[in-house]
Amino acid sequence: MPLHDRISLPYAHLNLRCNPFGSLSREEKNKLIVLRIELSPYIERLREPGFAVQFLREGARNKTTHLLAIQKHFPGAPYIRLYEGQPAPQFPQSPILFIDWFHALPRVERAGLLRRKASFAIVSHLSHEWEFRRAQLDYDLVKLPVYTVEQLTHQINRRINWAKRNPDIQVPTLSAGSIARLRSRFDDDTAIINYLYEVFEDLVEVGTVEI
Amino acid sequence: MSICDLSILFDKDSHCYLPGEPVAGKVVVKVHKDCKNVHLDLSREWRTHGKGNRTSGDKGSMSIPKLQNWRSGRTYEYAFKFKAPDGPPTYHGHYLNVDWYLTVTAKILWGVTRLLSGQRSHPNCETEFLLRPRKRPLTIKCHETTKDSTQLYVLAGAILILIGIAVLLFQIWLDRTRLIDLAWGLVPFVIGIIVLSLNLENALSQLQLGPVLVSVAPGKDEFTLQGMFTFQPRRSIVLERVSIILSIRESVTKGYESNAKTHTHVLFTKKMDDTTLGKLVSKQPFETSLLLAFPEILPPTFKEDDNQIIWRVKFEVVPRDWLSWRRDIVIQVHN
Repeated sequence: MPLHDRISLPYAHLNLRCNPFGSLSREEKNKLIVLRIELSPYIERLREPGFAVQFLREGARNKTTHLLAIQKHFPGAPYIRLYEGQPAPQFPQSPILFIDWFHALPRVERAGLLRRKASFAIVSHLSHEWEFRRAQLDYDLVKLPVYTVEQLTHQINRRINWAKRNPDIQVPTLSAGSIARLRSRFDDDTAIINYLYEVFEDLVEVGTVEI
Repeated sequence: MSICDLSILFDKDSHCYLPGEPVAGKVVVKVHKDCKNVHLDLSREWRTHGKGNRTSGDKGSMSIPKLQNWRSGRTYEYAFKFKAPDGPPTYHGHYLNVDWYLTVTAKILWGVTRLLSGQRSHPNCETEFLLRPRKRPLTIKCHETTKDSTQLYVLAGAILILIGIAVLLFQIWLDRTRLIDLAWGLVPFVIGIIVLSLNLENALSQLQLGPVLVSVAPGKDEFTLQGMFTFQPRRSIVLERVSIILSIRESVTKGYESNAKTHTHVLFTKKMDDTTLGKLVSKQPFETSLLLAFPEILPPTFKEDDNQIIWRVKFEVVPRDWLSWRRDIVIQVHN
């Protein structure tokens, strides 16, 4: 059949608008990503100057999402995203700064920034522990863990429900056993999301998906 | 409860339109609370979704000109009509999907209304419409006969290697053997090796074949393309075969900078060979072409930031008892 005669609404056969395990925009991530840890201890400490919290991990563990989840509790506090190889922006004067990709800033500029009388919430691929010590900051280095089975279930269901097309019609679901098997098979949550992307691409009808 | 519920109904149940065709329908508003001075804004754009980072484009806006006053409990309908855009056509692939969206937003004058409703954002509704590809043959943007710059690259690679060696020897002679000093020589040396190794086989092959010129053009029949070879062998040779291989693939990138990862999915691949060419006489110009048919269902070229559909033609000339010559060309294919 010619291409122009084959088009239909995307994923309509599954009552979905899109593959639930595809890429998300920043706004969608902020709404959908299940937080991996409790953030309230860090929120309280950040209210006083002289504290730094760093979310540290190579690869995708939703570090930025956690950073922005904290930022919601500080309306008006600036969030600055840095880019490697690009000149650093002017950092505004603020009692708290949210800085993404902190490692992209040259070391000398990082040192100058950390000397400010402020608190810092940072995402970076490198540990800045010695820089925090040098600036005499109290600090916490937070390595975000993989999802527990419960968190993974919540995350998977949240994504599928978000992608639902008609709220009154069923969508594919994953059994609890399947989710537990995914957790034990894959060490990395990104690998689970990538695997489920392929599973959902191959689905031909609504039902319970068994892995 | 929200101030109102919005929905979009198209004149066609299929939501499917050709480029340039009128897209008509209505916005239906079920009002739950009185509100005044409402401005209805309609916008359309295409967006990618799937594995790669999201991209979007061709955002167009229309609005219902008059400000509206709505009474609770009533239903209002507003007709709309616009010309379906030229493209890109709707596409649903494996890693990449391209869809068109129509969004209606009720921009309500806040103040008392907002205070009473507790609503923080403007009510809106979004739905897809499908843009068919044009019912006309795919057109291939002809590449001019492309000269092979292999020999230039080989020369550049050799020069870089020589420069690298010269700088290394100079640094050693000056007794500067720290890595940072040697790097001045190592870097051009390594780059030269890479450039040379990528181009050496073609360069050596052309010692017999001479410079090989290739090009792609639409075939005489619909959904065919023609790959053409032109060269003048420097020596008499026997050709085992010439081949063209058409491959069409999705290529999407997820993540940014050091987190970026590219995913590729092959949509179609097909090879055509000619194994009957036999002996070629030295210094006699030689031309041949191969015709390759492809299915009508294939999508056209798409190229936006991190999401692409790439049409690529690979040419091969395989002489007997000598090194092969190979070249890749990316072609643009559109409705």
